[in-house]
Amino acid sequence: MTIQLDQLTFAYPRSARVLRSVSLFAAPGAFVAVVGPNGAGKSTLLRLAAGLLRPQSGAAEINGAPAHRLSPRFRAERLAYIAQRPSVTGGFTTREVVALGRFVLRRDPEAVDGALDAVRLADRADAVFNQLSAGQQQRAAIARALAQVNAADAAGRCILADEPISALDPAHASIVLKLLFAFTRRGGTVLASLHDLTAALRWADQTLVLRADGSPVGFGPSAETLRPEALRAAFGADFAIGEVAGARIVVPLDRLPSPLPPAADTMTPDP
Amino acid sequence: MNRRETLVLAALAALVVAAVALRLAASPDGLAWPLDEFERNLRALRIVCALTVGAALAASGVMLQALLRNPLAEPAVLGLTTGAGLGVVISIYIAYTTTGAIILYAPPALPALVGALGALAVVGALGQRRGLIDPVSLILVGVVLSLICGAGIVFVQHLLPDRGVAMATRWVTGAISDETPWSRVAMVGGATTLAIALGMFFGRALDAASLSDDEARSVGVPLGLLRAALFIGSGALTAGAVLIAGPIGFVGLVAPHAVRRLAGPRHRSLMLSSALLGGALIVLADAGVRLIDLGAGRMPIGVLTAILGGPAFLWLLRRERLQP
Amino acid sequence: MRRILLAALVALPTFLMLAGCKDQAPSPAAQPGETRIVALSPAIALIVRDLGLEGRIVGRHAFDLALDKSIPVVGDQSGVDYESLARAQPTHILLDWGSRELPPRLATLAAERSWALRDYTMLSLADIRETTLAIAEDLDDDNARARAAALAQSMDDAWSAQPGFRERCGRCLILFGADSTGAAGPGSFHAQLIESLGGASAVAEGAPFVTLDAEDVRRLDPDSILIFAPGADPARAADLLGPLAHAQLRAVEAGRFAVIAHTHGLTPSTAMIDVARETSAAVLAWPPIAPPPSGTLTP
Repeated sequence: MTIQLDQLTFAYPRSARVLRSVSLFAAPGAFVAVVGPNGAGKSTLLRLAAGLLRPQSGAAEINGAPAHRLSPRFRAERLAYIAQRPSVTGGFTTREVVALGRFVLRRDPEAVDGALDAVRLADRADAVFNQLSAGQQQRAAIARALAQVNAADAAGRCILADEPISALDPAHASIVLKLLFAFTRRGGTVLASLHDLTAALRWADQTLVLRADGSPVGFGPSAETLRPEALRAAFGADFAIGEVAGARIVVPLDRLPSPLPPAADTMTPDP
Repeated sequence: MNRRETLVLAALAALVVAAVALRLAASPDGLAWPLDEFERNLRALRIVCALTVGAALAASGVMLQALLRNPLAEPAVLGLTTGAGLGVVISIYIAYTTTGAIILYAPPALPALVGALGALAVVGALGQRRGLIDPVSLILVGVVLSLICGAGIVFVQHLLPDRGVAMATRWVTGAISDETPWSRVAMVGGATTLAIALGMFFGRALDAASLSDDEARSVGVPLGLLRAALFIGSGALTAGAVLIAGPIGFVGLVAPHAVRRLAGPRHRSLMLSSALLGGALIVLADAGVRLIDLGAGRMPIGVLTAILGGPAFLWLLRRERLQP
Repeated sequence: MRRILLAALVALPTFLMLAGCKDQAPSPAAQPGETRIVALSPAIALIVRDLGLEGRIVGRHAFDLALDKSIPVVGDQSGVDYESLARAQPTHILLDWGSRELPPRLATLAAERSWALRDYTMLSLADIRETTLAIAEDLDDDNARARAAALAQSMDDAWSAQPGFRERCGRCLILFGADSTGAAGPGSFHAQLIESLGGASAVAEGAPFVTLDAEDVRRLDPDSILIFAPGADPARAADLLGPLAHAQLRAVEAGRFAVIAHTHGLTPSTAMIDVARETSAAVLAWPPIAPPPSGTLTP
């Protein structure tokens, strides 16, 4: 499963441009991250890649075909989309919600249970989804995606995740990232938007960096695109790339200036 | 269906049987089985009408609630029942101006369908934001439209020589008429059964449509098509119910809600169980209308369903708040 | 727990309904050759009563005011109650259904059981007279025929121009009930009644029943006002006028207003005979209308 975005441009009706000429390429087995400030258009990018929106110019293609023209069945079999804020109306249990991922597919209770185990939600399987915490609901959405595409033949499938770890504590975030990574090692493709730059550097093969106005700073191997200059262009702040205990980390550089300015100015950022 | 759903279904089927038995025994002098064939046929007609109307309204409620992702949606709230009633009343008025006779019994079916679908179209068009149905706008538009159509019905009746006194009960508050021909009951009953069967067949799709739009689409739900089908289905079911009994409220709200609390939200069982409960409720209401003698004629069914359905709904709502 | 609550929710109304069963007197068995009358209209019921046949009535309308309450109700504004009707075992069904379609089931049932189904026209005072005679004829009862003839004579006497009425009544505004916004327009029974007595209705245009407010009434400037309010206290006529009492109307200032409190003042039937007499008496007690000041046009 390849995902290709080519000079993608998009704006919602009656509003400013959200994405400007964005390009990326995800090959089978690739873990691609999308980073950028709030409002940069990451969610929109994922929706375009999933074929839920139609680009105004440029292309969003899955295996060479326009994403928005995919048949519902193809999309259901091969493409799992994890929304930023999963929502369900009605009193469905967690297990039922996860099972909805297989709506078009053959019923497979083992896949559902397996997915629940993988995200450590087996003990909440019979609870009502709407009574779970935000983090638990997010994990349930990920479980649904896994139940949908986590077949033995992961090669033809992909997961599009919109900030999948934003509500998770570090331990669970780590579990989820490992699951996504394992999916790619079996041949699947992952395209995920992340706030956690360290996670992008550590797990993603390639990263797309976006500016606040939706234009790309760069796309390529994570180590090359996640550099201080690129991050400064994207976020307007300073970052340092370092190494701790053999793992590379990205750290924002936000020290308080010394000497401390008078109390009234403490909140203004460094020039 | 899981065990809980099956149990609830069985209990509701038993309730229907009990309700039918009670209605069969409801006579002008208290409880007594029908004296002769005439009474048997008359009561049977009313029972079948009541079952059909209750099932149609409940199923329509389930469809609208799935469509709008809103448990408060029902045909009366969205103005479909009064829209259908207005269509019928206007057609009666037009017939009066051309022929001088007022059609009271078995008015033509088409105006009801046009009225219901017309109300649907208005609510759908005005309740949209950015091309997508917005649940809150929809309910607001529906309530206002319902008021407008209701006023329209009273107005058109006012233009008739007897000031619509003869028609008021049936088209303003809802009442089952003894004059309903069996052919009409068969037509509406058949359409209702078909719609419920289709609703059950697409039960899983309705479940999946409870996810957000994006999630539902990515899971393979043909959302646009499904919504169109739900729109048309709920409109047709409402038109059928209104043709037989006029605008009756609350059943489309209370029945699905009660079933959800008892058996869970899965739509395949919800559709059938709600239809059974809706039918039972209207049959019981008809029995009540027969047995409660106020000395000034029979209470219209619509009044009884409001008196009982309103507090029941408030009770359900309160429990909902304690347990989201 | 939920299931118990649901069962209770169902059982309670059912229990209430059962408790509310009314014990109406079951209809006595029919004797062959007996006339059993169902009066499906309050107006027709009054006529039958005045013909002396109240004892033969076995079914009444829900809105009926005249008959004994123990007679079963067999119809109301939503239609005919067929079970009660069938149990009453009528031989004659009398109605005035107006311009509405007759209930199809009624026609078929009447044909099957050989009931005499008669639909009378009751649109004018002349219709009341004809219907009274026709009912007596249809019921084939000599006593009734005699009383019908007597009633017809009373109608002719009561519904004819009374001396002195015109001068005191003039253009009369006819109001209904204590609300005093509902008025009788052209073609209504009450307008016909006033006209036959020698007066005229102030409302000359519109439907038989119109709603007016105080401004409309002032513009009409009626010579007199009559309020038909069954059961009201005639001495409290001023109260029943409501806002019109303070609208500076000629009729009110001259004291040319009255309340007709006859119990059946709103049911166009043989009761209109006594209503006419009561109206005459009230109007003839008024002072005659003074000629208008010079320079104004008389209507």
